Amino acid sequence: MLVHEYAQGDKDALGRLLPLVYGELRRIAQKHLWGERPGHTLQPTALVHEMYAKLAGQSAPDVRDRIHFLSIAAGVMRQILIDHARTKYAQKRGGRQEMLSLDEAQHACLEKPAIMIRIDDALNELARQDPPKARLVEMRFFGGLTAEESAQLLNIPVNSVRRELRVAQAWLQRELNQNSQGPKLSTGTLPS
Amino acid sequence: MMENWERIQSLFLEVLDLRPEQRAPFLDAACADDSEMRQEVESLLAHDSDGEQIAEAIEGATHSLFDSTAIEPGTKLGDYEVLRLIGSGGMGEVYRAEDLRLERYVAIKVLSPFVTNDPDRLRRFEQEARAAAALNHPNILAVYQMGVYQDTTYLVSELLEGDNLRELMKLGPLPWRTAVEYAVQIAHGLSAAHGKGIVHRDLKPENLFVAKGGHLKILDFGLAKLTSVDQASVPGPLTEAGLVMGTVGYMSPEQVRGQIVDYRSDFFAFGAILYEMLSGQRAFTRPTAADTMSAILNEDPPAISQFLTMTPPGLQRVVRRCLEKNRDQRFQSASDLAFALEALSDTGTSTVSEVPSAPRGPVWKVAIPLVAAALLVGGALNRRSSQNKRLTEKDTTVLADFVNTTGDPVFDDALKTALTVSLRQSPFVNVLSDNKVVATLRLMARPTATPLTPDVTREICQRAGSKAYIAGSIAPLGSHYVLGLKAMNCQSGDLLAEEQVTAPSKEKVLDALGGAASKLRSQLGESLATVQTFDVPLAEATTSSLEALKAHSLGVKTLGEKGAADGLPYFQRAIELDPNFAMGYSALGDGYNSLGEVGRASEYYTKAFELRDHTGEREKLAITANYYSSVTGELDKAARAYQGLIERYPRDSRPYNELANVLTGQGQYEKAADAYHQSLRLDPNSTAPYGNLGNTAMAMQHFDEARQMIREAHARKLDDFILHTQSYALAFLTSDSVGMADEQKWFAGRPEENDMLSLAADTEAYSGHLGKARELSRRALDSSIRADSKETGAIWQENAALREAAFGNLREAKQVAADGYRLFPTSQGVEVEAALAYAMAGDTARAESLAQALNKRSPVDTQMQLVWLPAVHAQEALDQKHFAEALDDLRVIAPSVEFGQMAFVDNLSCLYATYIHGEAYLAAGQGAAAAAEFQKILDHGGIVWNCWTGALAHLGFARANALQARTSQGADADAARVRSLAAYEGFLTLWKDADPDLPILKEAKAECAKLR
Repeated sequence: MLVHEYAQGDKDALGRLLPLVYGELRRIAQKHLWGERPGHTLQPTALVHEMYAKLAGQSAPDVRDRIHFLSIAAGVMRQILIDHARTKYAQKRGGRQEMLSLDEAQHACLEKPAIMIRIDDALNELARQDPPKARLVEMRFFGGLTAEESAQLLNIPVNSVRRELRVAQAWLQRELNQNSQGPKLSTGTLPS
Repeated sequence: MMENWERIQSLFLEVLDLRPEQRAPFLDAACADDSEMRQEVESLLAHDSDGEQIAEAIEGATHSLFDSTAIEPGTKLGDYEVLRLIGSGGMGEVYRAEDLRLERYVAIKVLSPFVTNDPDRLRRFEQEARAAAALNHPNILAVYQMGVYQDTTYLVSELLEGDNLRELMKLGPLPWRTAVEYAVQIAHGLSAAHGKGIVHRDLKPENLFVAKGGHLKILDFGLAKLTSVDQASVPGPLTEAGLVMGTVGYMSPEQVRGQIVDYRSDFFAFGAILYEMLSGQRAFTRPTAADTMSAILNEDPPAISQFLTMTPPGLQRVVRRCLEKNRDQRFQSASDLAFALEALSDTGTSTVSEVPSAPRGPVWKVAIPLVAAALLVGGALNRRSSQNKRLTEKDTTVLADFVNTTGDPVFDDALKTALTVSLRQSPFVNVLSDNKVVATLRLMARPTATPLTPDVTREICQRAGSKAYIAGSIAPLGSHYVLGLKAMNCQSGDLLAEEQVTAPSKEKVLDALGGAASKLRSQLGESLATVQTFDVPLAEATTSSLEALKAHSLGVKTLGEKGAADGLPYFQRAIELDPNFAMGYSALGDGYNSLGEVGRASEYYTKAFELRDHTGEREKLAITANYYSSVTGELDKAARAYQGLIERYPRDSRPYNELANVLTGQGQYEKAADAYHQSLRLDPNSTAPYGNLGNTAMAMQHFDEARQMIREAHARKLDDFILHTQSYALAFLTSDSVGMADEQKWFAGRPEENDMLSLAADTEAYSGHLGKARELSRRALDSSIRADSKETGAIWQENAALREAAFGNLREAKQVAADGYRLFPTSQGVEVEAALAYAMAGDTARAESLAQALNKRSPVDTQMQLVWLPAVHAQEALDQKHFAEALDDLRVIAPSVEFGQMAFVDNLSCLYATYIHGEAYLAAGQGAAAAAEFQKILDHGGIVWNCWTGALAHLGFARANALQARTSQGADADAARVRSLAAYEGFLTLWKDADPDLPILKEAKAECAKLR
């Protein structure tokens, strides 16, 4: 019901909605920030707050239910990460550019924001060709929705989610590799 | 391609289900002649992987984004060297680092890029960091500095050793007293923050740090706000709400609801924490965040009494009141809260006895000794440590150089000078003088210009027997400045007090520093009354111009290293920058005074006096006293001013020394000796009081005591030419020619050699060796000029002129007097002696002209009006045979001032006025009175030393008695005649190998022969 009020433009409803979705938002953030590596302890709280701020700043979308809300949150998360990557990329490119040697320019630190930007570009391209797949990627990989939740939201059978993702990933991978400005994108080449 | 997309996908998925060898035939069949479609499917297959490679790529990229803040050990952030990661929080990672300049460990929090990539947010963060840095409270983590390293913003704060409350609570619930003790500290910290309008918003056990010894600090003030919704960009009711995501479980109901957060929200979190400390259970804990939030909104936690039976009932009430859902029903101020808790811990001891809970498991076996020990010693230790933390008024303190990381050199020395002034207002804090610091550096075999780093300062502090040292720092914080002051015990290295303030602009730095210094004074144990009474704002106490203050500081530094002449241009610059800079004028006065340019010194002292209200209390009193003693010469007022200074700052040795100097000017040697002894008691390693005590002892004819003082000074490895002139005089007075020769040797080649040459001239003249005396006086003059001390040279010449006049060589007297006066006409000492020399040489007009000028310039000067001018006028009257008038002039001479050490000339005094008085009585035919005057001179060898007046007093006494013999009859006349003859004999013996053609010798011989 709160979701509905939020959808109706009652921004205060977001405040009241928050306790309900806090755990989920936190889970989303956690997914992004807590890798498998021990000792990586950057808390997801800040990211949650960031999402909250962005959600609150958006014009209230037509939110149907909790899962829909989470899918919106996933889009927000993607937006945050890509904004962040662009800022980082600009910083690396900007201020210190003249100081970088060619070798340094190929340093991984410079690549990672670039990879994020290229994934985003590829996802946008995918959205033009096959919007549901792009949303699915967003929900699953940026929003951390489960296969079941995604299936429910996209109104497809759960086992289709896996298949759709398989196609989407292959497509994205190809898109990334065609745009061959950088190293071949695969898990193997990503420094962790 | 688009029209085939569905088909391509299904082919791709179908192929994936096939074994590799089946794939090509399948595609051959399925695509038939659509090579484009086949190519599509194959290219997708080529990029397929079974895993979630895109997901992993996103994850990896995300990590790298937020990971890039990780800083390698050894990296230098400004003056900080990162040592290792010690933790991380919502805002970023925390590193242990070393402050290379202050040589201390600090914590550096490197902020998460979320915060730093958004300029608005960064600005807000800066504001908050500034506010947090302004929170200057023992229960709040001190934030030192904010900086940016490459793209990374970091915050430097004190490094705490200990554990956060979360860790401590892992050992189980805390004994209620410990819990209350911590809670009281939290409440005090909150009170300070709330008082400045800062709400924590994210109070939780992780943010509460208990240092070793039980001292609690609240961390991350102001940081919580950073995670709030960007208020500027959010329209609608949320804007006002400014919701902050506190940690679930410690959030207040209003935070959960997204309502406006205020300081009372902190009390809710406080209540939840206190609850947890006491019970070992979280007040609100549910499996999911949503359920927890629901509990916060709707449920009350179980009563603490369910966990602990022996807590005071009041404690339960405090917790409940903090956890009220409606904030209006909570405590309304942190000080109320602290008060309620303190009341509990005070009364608790008598009404409730602590019964340890039954051990609950292995954890307790660790916990009990730790906690019980803390419990047992906690109270007493706290009290004792708070006493240890304080200074007493007997302690002295050394100031380290400021550590200036602003990059703005104006702060380099200016702030230390300002801090010195600020602290010097205090009757309680005794700052070790620059002279003592330099002396101690010499003992440490270090150059006097050694930068006073905290380490060096600590060593000086230890060596000088001081209790504490104060290290100041200034660091940039955005466009603001953070000023820190730390007082450390130099023996133990313990932190005694710490203050930190922020200044919103460069112009406000001095105000901020003054405020911090005042607070530090309180922390160090000074009474509030004196802190408040003596608390002139620094800009007022010094100058509002930092540049002027810097110039002044450089002047002081240069003066210490290279001498007054080199320091003066800086002081001059300082007063150009701020024409109302009283201390600047005062320093110029001191500088010129030490160069012997008394006239200019007086001008600057006068200006300083006029501006004395623009200084701190101590400077004001000192400038006032100095004005009376050095400019107007009103010795009574000067003595009173120094006494006032002593009453207010009884721990400072210098005013005692100054007062004593004034007293010697008044001829009150006994009182002066007492004051010198006081000075010495406070500062046994200062040379001046030894020399001065030697003088007073000699003036009182206590020669053994004088020798003793000199020996004591030497035993303390203190040396000064004054001590050697005294030794010489003592040797002279006891006819110890070997001792005199030894002292003469000491002076050879030294800048003060001219003093000894002049003394040697006096010795020769004393025996009538005028030729030798003239030669030595000439050498003294040359030596003075070589030593760049013309004024002294001029004084030696006037001394010689007086001698010539007294010996009857009036022409030479006038000539030498004129030469001396020409050499240095602007010195009061030269003028008075020249006036007297002219008068004695019969040049009444010149004498009177000088006398009038002196009278005009020094209308209230004690010695001028009561000794010098009466002597000059009397001599003028004698020249004109106006004997009664002469005696009348001399009537004003006050008994003790007559013997006073003469302020304008270097040696004690020749008692010229007394000599002239004797001459006036002789001329007026009053033999007995004349004899009494000459007797005074003969009785005060310790004042007169080897001055010719001492020799001629024998002749004067002989003549006075001869006069008496003539003017009386019978036995009196006979006795007078015998005394007179003896005195003549004595004089002629003294002058037995005198230069033969001295007029006065011829007269004496003739008179003696006649008397026989």
